[in-house]
Amino acid sequence: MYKTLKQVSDALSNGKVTSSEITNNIIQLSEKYNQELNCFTTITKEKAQELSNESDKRRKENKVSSPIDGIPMSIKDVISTKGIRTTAGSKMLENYVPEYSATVYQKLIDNGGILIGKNNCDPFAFGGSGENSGYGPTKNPVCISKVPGGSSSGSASSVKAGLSLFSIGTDTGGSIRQPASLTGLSGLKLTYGRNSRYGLIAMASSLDTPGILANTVEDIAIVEDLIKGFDPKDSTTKKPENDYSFVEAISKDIKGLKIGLPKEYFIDGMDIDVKNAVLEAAKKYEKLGCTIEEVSLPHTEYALPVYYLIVPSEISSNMGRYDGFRYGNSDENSKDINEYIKNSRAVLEDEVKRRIIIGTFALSKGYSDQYYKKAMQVRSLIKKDFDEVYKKVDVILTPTSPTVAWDIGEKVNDPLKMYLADIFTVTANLTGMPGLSINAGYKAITPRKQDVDFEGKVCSKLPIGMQLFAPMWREDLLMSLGHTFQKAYPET
Amino acid sequence: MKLTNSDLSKLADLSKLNLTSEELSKFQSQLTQVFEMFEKLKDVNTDGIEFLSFPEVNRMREDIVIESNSNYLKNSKKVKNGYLKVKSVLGKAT
Repeated sequence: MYKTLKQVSDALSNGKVTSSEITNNIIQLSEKYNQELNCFTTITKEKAQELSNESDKRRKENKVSSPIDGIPMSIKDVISTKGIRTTAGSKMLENYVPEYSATVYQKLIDNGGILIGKNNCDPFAFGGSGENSGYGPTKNPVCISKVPGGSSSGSASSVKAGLSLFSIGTDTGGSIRQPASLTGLSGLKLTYGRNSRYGLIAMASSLDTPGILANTVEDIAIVEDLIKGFDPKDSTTKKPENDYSFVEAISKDIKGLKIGLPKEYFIDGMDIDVKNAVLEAAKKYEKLGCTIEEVSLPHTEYALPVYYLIVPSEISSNMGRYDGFRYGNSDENSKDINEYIKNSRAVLEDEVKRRIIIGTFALSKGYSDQYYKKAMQVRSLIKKDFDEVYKKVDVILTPTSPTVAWDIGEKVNDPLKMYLADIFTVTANLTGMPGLSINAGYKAITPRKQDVDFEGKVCSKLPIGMQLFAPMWREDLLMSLGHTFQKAYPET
Repeated sequence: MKLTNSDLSKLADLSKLNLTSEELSKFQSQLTQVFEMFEKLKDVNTDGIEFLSFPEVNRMREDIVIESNSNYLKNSKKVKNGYLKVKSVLGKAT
């Protein structure tokens, strides 16, 4: 059948299939496989059928102009969809129905995209495995005993299982790239300011970035061209000085590009198969005409503590809005306002509570200089490291995650261990630069009884992701490097 | 730094969170580990280093009236005359 958005788009254009046929088929599969995968919090069956009929009608009348018109898609549940429940993966917002839509979602609907459902995720996007969700863990379709990564867990799971052709996720510390890596997909975190944050349920506002998970870099490019751009409703979006088409960027020549391998991203304790697969990919890039150079980012080891101070600080203030009055869970039996707020917030998931407490600590009197201010200064040093390296090389190649997908439940009671899974991705958010994760290879495993894919077939290998970083606004380099690799080595 | 039980209770109170005794003991050990990770930053010399800031300055826009969404309180539990009705703030609870 059809594996990519591009293939479906072509099939729709050639009249080989209709949007309603594809949509009905995907809805049926979604209802079936969601019971196991738990990748959707809401399946928007009627809406999808209605939209696909409209798309087919437009096509008959020759009124289709967008490559995604009629294409089934899904949206992470931290992204507001007017009239459609938006839970943010938390019990706090179990019955919340937004009165407005996020800009990125609205643009896709305006282009004829068909919403299949809202994707499960870690609550408010706090997590790296999908297991923190108030609606239960999402499973990895490649091997259902494993996590799909997070926080865009349902996005990755649904696209990998063919239940949507692409998904819009959000990336604050790796939440698009890491699940893409653990499920073998492509995932792009954009330059901060390229895509509008309007309508995203805020996590850490100076780092949140909506982006795309899809089967190929080409599919990502098609979608990004439709959602990017300045939005008057988000004053941190920007009109880039040199704007370009992402679709055109994928076919640019990569010969002569200089790729840096930072020694600090190939560390002891990481999975040796992951390390080798990424080094192998570097050799493949050499064959494709790029040059490889070792580089150094000396402040790398401080990125994780910096991230886990700054992000919870922003979280603790963003989460202040969940007081039970305006929206979300409320406790009507409380006597006074203080008790009311506390009791209304009692449904917040453990990881949400932990991060609010960390942030409250980091910003509290007597500690803010020692922790928050210090973290903000080290953030500058991390940015400087990258600025220096980009004087020597065009892009940087690293593993996306230090390991392949792990067992569900393995790290759930050890937040520090869970945080370490973000070690290679957080720097892109701290500095604002873009990052792309694509599949580099596989790690062979000896399957246990429970190691089967979502259709019940034995799983004997797990995907390994690699990550490419580029300077601010240079996603064009990531697009051409990603697409060229996928064309030259289709088996990955 | 070691996070004591009373530190954690105070932080929870400031955060407007009620923690059960089970949560208190679980979070205490989990967060102590996380706080230990932060100590690493003490090794970095940050004398004279400014905060990271992006080059943008204030972005001005025209002061134009835009009709706001009249349903903005649709998700609120108690609304009276366009206001949110809250529990008593001062004095005796009613």
